[in-house]
Amino acid sequence: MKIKTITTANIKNPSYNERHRIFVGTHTGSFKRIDVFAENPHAQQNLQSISSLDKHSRVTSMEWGNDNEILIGRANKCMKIYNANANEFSSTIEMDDGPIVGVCRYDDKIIAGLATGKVQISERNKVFLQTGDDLSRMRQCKENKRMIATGGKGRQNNLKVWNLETNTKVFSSKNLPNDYLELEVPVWDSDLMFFDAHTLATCSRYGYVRMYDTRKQRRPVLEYVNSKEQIVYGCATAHQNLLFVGSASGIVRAFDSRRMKTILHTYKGFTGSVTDIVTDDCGKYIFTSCLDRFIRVHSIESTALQYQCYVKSKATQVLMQQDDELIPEDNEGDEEENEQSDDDTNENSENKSGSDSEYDEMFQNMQTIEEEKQEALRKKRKPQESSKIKKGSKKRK
Amino acid sequence: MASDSSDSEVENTSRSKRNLKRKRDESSDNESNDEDNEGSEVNTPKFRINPMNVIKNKEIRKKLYKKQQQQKKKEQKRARRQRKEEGGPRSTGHTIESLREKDHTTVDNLEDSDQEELQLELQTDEFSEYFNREITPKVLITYADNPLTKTRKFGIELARIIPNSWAKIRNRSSIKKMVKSATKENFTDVIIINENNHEPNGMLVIHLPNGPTAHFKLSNVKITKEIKRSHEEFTKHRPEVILTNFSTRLGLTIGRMLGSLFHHDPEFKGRRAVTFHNQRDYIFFRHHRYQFTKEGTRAKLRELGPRFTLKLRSLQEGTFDSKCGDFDWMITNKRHAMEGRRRFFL
Repeated sequence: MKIKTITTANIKNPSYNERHRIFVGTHTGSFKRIDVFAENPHAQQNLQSISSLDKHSRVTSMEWGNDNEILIGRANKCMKIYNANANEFSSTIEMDDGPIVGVCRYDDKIIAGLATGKVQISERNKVFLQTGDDLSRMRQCKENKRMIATGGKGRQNNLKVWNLETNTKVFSSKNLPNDYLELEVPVWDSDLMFFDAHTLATCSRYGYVRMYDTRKQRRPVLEYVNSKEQIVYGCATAHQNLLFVGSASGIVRAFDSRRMKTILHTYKGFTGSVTDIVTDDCGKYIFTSCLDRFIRVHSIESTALQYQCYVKSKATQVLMQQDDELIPEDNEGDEEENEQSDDDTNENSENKSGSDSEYDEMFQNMQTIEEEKQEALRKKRKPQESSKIKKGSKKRK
Repeated sequence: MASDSSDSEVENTSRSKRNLKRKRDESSDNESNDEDNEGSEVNTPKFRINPMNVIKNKEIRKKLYKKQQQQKKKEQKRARRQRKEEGGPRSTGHTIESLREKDHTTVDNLEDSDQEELQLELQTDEFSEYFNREITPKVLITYADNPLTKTRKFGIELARIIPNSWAKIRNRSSIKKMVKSATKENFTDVIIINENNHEPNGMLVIHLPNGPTAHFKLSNVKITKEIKRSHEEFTKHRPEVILTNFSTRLGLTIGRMLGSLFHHDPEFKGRRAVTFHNQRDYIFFRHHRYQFTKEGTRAKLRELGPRFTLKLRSLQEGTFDSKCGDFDWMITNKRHAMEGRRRFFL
């Protein structure tokens, strides 16, 4: 069914019936939950009382911590931890500075990236990592939780990767070579994303998207930049081989991280700057928050708008959760899939078939789609892969 | 209901045309069934053909058609008169505005219980200081480089209308620099008037110190001289500001922004009123002096000028940064073309 994309109404595609739960952080500082699958899919629940907010309580970062807790960083030094299981705030931590541009959890430590350039590791005695003087974003690697990456505006704040166990810098990127006038190429890593422990992507307000491989070289291995267009990339997220970047002019683009030459998909319907993107676990939908006060869900493959909800104030951060009351094994299964090679997918489906007979068909359908996709990808990639393998074998010799 | 009937009439004619076409197709397919088909179609009220359409002579057809139309109009007129005599309701007719696509973000009543969040936002946004009367506005008006007479005069007239404002030549300073130095001088707003083809065509309103920045298309500028008035009619009193029809959430922000250019306490002695009237996303600016009639029921108006029309292009978060800034809302021509005519943003 085709949905009119440009409208201010709250819409939901009837064929979009996943059990998604969306958490939204806004410019005014409110923190909301939207149950997309509920009877009223646009009902919003304010999880924090509005009256306690002030001018500087803008939500600047939001991330999942350990087992269903949400870390919320604000512009006013304050950081809150929300427990999504118990539906309550468990603690509040005061950082040394604000705004907090990145939050994450490693074991029992809570780490906050501050816009002044420091990364504060909150234990009993505070430890700081000095990353530069103007930090735009800090993110944690999902596979290897002791790795964090930081990026900001200016040459001295470019992409760096840190190890939280030793509190040392593991990798620092190097700028592109000077241009033909021997002038420095401007750098602003406005958002960054880990694909795995070694490959990262950054996007920039200067209009480039770069891929880094920490094992290979300090300079980017792949880059997408179109000098003919003026575009500002503000946020990014990754899922398997797809990289999504959102721009300030209201466009979200998807790239193939292995071949950054062309844009795979463009998602439309935004009338303001896209501030944050997340994908769901199986890579079917992207969730975006936008300064035009809307939360939107697009399907990744068809790029069609599935859901749109007016959240009353400017949305700055978004998180999604698969409601796993009915499908408890879903998340784990998908993670396994990511790690395992293509051939093992059949085993997964067998594991799942034991759970619930009603959902058997659904899962099998999902599986076939995945397989087709992967097959298609395999077909596309065949020549490249083979060449890579050859290279690798040569090196081994 | 005059418009209704005319609508249905148009529909009828178009339908009959369609039918005719279809009939032709059928006739080409199988001529033998032609008459039967026609008969059935005439019988059923849904697919009635205007018999005039079958007349082959164009002249006669036209004449008859005209006659028919006149007849219809007469009937309509009669019906209207009859309705009027009976005292029935007057039809409002359709306008592009009454057919406006419903905007979900419309702010109906600020005091509603579910508007708690909106109220908070209004209390904490960039204009809250003005509306709490903590600051008095101080406005700098400037132009594009090398403004011609009309633009310069327009700026000077604006400075006469907006209290506590200065019109200055830009002297080739960059906007970002101006924003910095104006913030230092405690200005609350900067207005920049752009000019193209000897006509002012753009207006940038920057709220200081933390934005937002609104970019308007400026059109139909008539300075006082062009509407045969003189600035000598202006008094030094602070004017009243009337903002009408800003209904959506975006409109509310724009209204607050335009309102906060003026001092919060008007001097009613001057009887001057400044109006920003939003209609179909065009914001019309008018400047009047009013006088109540002796009965006090009506007000006589005298326009003082200037007059101009604004149309919002973009609303940016923060002060001016067209390259790297974040936009709350922006319009691109491409998107505009895709949208219906009945969709309005303010």
